[in-house]
Amino acid sequence: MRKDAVVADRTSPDEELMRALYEEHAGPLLAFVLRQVAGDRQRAEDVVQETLVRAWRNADRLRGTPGSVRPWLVTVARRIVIDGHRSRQARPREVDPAPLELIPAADEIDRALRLMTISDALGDLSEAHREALTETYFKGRTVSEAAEALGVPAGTVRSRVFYALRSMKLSLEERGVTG
Amino acid sequence: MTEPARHTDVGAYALGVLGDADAGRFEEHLADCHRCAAELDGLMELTPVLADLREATPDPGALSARPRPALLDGLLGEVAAARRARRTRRLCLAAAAAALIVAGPPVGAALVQRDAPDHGSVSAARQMYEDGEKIGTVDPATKVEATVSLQPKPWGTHVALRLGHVEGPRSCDLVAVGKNGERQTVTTWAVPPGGYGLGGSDEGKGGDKGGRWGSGPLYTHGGAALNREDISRFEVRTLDGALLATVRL
Repeated sequence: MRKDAVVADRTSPDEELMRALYEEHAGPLLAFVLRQVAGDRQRAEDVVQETLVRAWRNADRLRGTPGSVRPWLVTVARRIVIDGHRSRQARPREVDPAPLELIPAADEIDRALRLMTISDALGDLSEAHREALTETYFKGRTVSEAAEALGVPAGTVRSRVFYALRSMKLSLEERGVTG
Repeated sequence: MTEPARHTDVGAYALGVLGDADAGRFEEHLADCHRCAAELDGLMELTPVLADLREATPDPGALSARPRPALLDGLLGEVAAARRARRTRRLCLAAAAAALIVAGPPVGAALVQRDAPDHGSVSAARQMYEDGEKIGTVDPATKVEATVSLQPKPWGTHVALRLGHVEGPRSCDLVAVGKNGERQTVTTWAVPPGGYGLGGSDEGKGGDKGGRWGSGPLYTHGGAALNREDISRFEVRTLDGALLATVRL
């Protein structure tokens, strides 16, 4: 691939669309896929890439049905993960540690979408607020422990947690998760 | 912790991330602060939602997981590859279309020929007929009208034949008979069921009226390795030997 051609091509509507898909969905989708592949980062990114490429190819159809992109992405990503499991299992002498039971049933798609929406709300927080929540609640630390890890006063962490929660609450209400 | 409890501690308290000592102090504060009680009420809605996410995300690093920039590069690479494939496909289609265009004229020509096979050959034979020296007859027995049109050639004699009032179906030949008795077949043909030149008018051009083959006379042509002066007569016969007409020179 010649570099100048790539640079020139990246301003086209095709590239714009792909960038938009990436910006909007790559992060939440990656978090979803990571859960499906037991945290295998490389594999998860491969699945995300393949999923977004397929979404891009089907963009015309997906555009016709607003609000359907996420469910489509989750379904397709899950399909790719399952197919990946199968092809790995088909290979002899290779033991895949991730059993099929780790893959959600179809009715868990809703839960996946809900989790992605919560991730979206988390992603909307400022970096400092998100960090405050991650370093305390999600890492199972007290405010004091997190403050030490972050090198900021405990009072700052507490107020950041508070404002982070307020933002999350508003954001999740807007997205219809709580209300 | 020597800090007094503040209103904003309510968030950390809701999440259960205040240490025991801080939590105790906040609970004392909460007992007297209606504002914090109301706030806590609202925030408690969030805790099951966040618990859901935490449970599903054993690795907190995945919470804010952003794909590496290489992923976007990979995606844009796929777009570029797809565009190249599309362009190649377009070129292939264009090439296929060009092939069709090249193939087109022969197909069209074949159609034209199939549509009017007699017109083409008749007109050529008829032109040759018009150009030559004509000698004709109507056979008294069969009523077959036969006229030959002759053109001397270095190799012998070119012979065009106009044949009318002949019924089909039958196969016929035109034989040149030399003065020395030598017989040479000039051409052969088949008369279709409708015959030739039976429609009353012999001005038809090979099938304009009364069916494709029915009304007009037949024009055909061939050659004989005999000089014009060495030919005695032409015989029109069926291939099983019946004489239809004799044209004497």
